[in-house]
Amino acid sequence: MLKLATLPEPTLFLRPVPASLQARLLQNILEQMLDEEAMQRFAELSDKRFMFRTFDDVVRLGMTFTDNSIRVQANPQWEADVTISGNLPALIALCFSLEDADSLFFSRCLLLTGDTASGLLFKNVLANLDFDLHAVLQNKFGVSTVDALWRMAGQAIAGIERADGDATRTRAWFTKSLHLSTTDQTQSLRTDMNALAGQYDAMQHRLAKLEKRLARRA
Amino acid sequence: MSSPFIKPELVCPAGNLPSLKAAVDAGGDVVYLGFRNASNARNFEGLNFSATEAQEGIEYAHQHGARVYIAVNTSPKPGQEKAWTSSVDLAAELGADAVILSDMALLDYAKRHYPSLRRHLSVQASACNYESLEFYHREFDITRAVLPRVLTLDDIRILNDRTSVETEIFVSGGLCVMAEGRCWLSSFVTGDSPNMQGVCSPAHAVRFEEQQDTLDVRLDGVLINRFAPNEAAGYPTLCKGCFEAEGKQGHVMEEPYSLNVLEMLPDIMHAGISALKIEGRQRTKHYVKEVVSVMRAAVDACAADPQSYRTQTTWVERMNAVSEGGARTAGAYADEWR
Repeated sequence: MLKLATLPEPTLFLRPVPASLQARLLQNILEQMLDEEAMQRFAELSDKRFMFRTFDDVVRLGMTFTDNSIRVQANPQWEADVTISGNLPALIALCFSLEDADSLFFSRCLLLTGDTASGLLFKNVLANLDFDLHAVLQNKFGVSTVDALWRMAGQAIAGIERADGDATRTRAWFTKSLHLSTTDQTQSLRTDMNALAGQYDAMQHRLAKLEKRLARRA
Repeated sequence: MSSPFIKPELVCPAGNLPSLKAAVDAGGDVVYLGFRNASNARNFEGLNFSATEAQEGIEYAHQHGARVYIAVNTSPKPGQEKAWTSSVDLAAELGADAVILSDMALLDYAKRHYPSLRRHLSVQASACNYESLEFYHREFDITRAVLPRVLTLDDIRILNDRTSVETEIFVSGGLCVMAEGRCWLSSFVTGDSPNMQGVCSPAHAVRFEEQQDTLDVRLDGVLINRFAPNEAAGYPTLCKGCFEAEGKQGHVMEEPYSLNVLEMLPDIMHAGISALKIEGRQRTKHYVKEVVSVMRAAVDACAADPQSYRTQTTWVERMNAVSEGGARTAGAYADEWR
């Protein structure tokens, strides 16, 4: 089984994304996935303030539960009752119930500090939801937008593959996490990656030729 | 009489509906669960089933040829017995295939009110000898007992040679100090125990604290563990705490390893054991799916040809990836010193 701890920390890709946009995105997706019962159970957390942060602090999102609704806030100034820290894939996996949270904790990809009971309730209510992130995203943002995001994800993976020589596990995680189960989708992702890899090789070749010409002139 | 070769049923954990479905889909024969109250020994925040969810789960399991056992395996609090008997009533009403009980009063209640509903003796009853099993069988007509994790495989074989009660053993998941139903360690520090409140190390008493170079774990203010950076973490239970004793620091009561008996399956199947139980109702559907899939494949392979059965490396890797401590142990089953 793939361990998230072995993946490269992808917060690099989030640095240019404004925190307010990150917050809105998370809130939108959570609103899609949380059913009435989940919201009722979250009512027990109405006086609790949650903080979700990546270990490198690139992402810092606050979350509160009031009047049967959920509110995600970027970089809140208040002190949190519960702080859930992790690497980005682990936080995503927790929020969208993509991997077993205890396994992530054992491997130190995820950490819960503050009010443990409230954090446990949050985790277990999310784990009780039976949902498909891919379908939720398509429903919210449209099939073509999500498919475009898919292609971008494929290109990002290809970039990692070229950088570290082995993105097999990263690709496997994306495939598993985002429910890329059909042959067509997987094939499309692979084609994109191969195309990008080809472009990269061509660019490297051109750069090498340019370097040689410059060296000759010098 | 010697124990026959039995292909045991696989009894799988579910703390919520997605886990129940994952267990059934991955090939579990049975799913065990508890209601959302203190009547079962996994009474954690946000975990377990409402009546509606249990109903849906039982229907799903039955439609797919699986069964559901409901654990009502803590001791009723004085004056609040109704909450426990109501859980037995609900299990019967919903069509559960068995109730897993430990308290004698509840066993008696279930026998009198629902004589046709199978009664399994919970591991919480800590029955580990022939006389004890016979007593529960005679008085409460139990059909099965979940054995405490204190017996060796030889002990279990001898037990099965004599008793007519079916036996079920744990084969995977977290280990404790193996004094099920009699462990009060958690109570000493937090006031709550699995026996009464259905919870060991209740979350309200647990605090994880990030220090400069370590992760400290406190239980009601008592420091019970300190993890180095990147050291595999474990559950915050007192028995798996790291303490100093006689000048040495370490896990003086219990190592934070997980039980895994894959290599012993042929011996287990020759020991007359009726069911193999996977621990982990507190885990999510991903854990359940992974462990049940591996155990299903292993049990089927062993049952088909026990002589040439070999543990596959991928099974072990998959189990280790989701296990507490990331290591496997055969626990008491293979204790040679006994």
